[in-house]
Amino acid sequence: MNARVHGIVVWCCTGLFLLPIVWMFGTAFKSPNEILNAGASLLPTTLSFDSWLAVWQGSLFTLISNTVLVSLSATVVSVVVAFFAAYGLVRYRFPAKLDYLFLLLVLIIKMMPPIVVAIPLYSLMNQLSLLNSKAGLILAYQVYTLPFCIWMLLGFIRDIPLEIEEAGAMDGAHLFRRLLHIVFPLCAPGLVATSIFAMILGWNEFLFSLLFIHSPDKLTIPLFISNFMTEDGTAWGELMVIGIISSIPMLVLASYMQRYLLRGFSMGLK
Amino acid sequence: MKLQLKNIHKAYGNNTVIPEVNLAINDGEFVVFVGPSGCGKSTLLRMIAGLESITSGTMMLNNKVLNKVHPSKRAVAMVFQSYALYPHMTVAKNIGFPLKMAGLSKAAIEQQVQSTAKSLQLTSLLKRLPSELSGGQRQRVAIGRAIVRDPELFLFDEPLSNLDAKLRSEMRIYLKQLHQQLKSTMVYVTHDQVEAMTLADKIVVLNKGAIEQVGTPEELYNSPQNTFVASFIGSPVMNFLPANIYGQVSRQQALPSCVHTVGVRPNQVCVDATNPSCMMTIEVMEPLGYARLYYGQLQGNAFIVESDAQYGVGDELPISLPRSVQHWFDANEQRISAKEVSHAA
Repeated sequence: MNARVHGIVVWCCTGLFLLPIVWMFGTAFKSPNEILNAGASLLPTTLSFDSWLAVWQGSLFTLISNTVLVSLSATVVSVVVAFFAAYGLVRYRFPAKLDYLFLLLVLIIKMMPPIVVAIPLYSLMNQLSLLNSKAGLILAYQVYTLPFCIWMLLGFIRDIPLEIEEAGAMDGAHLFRRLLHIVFPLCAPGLVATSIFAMILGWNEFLFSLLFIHSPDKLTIPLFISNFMTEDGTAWGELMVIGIISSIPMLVLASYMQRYLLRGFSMGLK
Repeated sequence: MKLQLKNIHKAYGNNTVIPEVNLAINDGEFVVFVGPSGCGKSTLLRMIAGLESITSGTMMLNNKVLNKVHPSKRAVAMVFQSYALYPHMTVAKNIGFPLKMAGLSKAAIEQQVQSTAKSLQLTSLLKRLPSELSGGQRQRVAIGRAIVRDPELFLFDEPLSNLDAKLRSEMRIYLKQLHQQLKSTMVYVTHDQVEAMTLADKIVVLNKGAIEQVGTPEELYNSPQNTFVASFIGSPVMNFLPANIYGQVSRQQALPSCVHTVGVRPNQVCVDATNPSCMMTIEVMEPLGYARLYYGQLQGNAFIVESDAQYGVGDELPISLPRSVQHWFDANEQRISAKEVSHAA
């Protein structure tokens, strides 16, 4: 009896979470007329690829490559910088609790609504001539990703016993070789998990792209999605197609890295 | 002289951990630092390793000043309390890591790893990860990693404290054999006086960051320089009686006036039913198999007797404290030698 109730609850919850996804898939394969007329039906009565063709005929490849480039670069920059920052914060002593102060500031930046930093950031980007450039966007994404990566990697590096690194030093390894041969491999699950989360943050980022990018050839997917919602109406079919396309890479990445992700969760939350 | 510590001082801010230590360790010696928790023995070892900075003083290894030399450049190997094996590396890679850092070729590393593993009976475990090994095997891998690079000095930081009693005893013998075989200079830290006594050529007893006494195990056992060393070395601990209490319980000749405390080891107390100098009521009895430990009080002072005589709880134990086994200490808790007594007389 308990098992049956448990099963029903699990299926209900799963159905609840899957509903928007089913609706997304259903709408993507509906014809524009059916979308407007069929009300809230989940699945299409006839399969239509009109929305797919409309998206395909647009600048889909450029969009995907822009988004991959920007989010991947932002992730690499964040994870590399955060790794060294977290290592330094964990392993070195700072006067006057500067390390705690730094972490607090990082946390405050993370907790602030992005729009608060958007205006000064816009001014900064303008002065540095980085507006409407992918490099500028990669730097701007650090506002989201870097604090997150620093905080997440802190836990992973703290979990590495100091004695192991001291043993490395006694065995003849200088700092760089200790990082390379000992700390980095031991942190690998944490680095993978952190990278995936940072990648997701960058992949879904909308506000800074909207503010800093003007050229159509530099648009990212979230920004492109907004183009389907205009004053004349919403192109639901295209919107759902681009939604599916933008979700798939992250789903594949997360499934492939699931092993690391789970180990990452358990390590970082200790 | 292999290792010299001259006026070594260590402080964290205003907190002095080691006021001043002077020590010389000879080539090939097995030296054990022993003392209670927090006495600074591990800090001293870590300073020798280079893992802690030296606040002031000079440390020399083979006449080369070590103070500012990075741990990786000291030619010193260390075995940690937690073994500190690299969890992502196999046994072979763990043992070969120092050689890899030294830039040896793969073939040379392989050959030395095989030879070290053979001497430590680890050949069949070379492909395993540390998590797949028992405590004793991990300990041997840690030792292997230390000996593979042929260091000038070995440091051991309580390496047996995580092992069970039987394995600890086996590893003690193993370490002794290793020292006899390698004839290397070894510095070993422990809080276990049995380990110190059984392993050491020379014991350094530390208390509150200062050296209380340096000597062979026999010297420390037979001629402790003060009550701290007397109480720390030997198991069960030495009995101490204030001189006035000793006068009340013993019918022997009066003590010299400079004697403040009399110490007698439990196994040297004479259980003498024919002509006892005093009686002790047995409160607790612990059978050891080969003998028994009797716990009681002499005029309110806890007293332990180790004897093969058969008595029970509540019995009166007839004991004598022969002069030949007594250790005398003055008001400053320092040893009074027979020579000093005769000189004073």
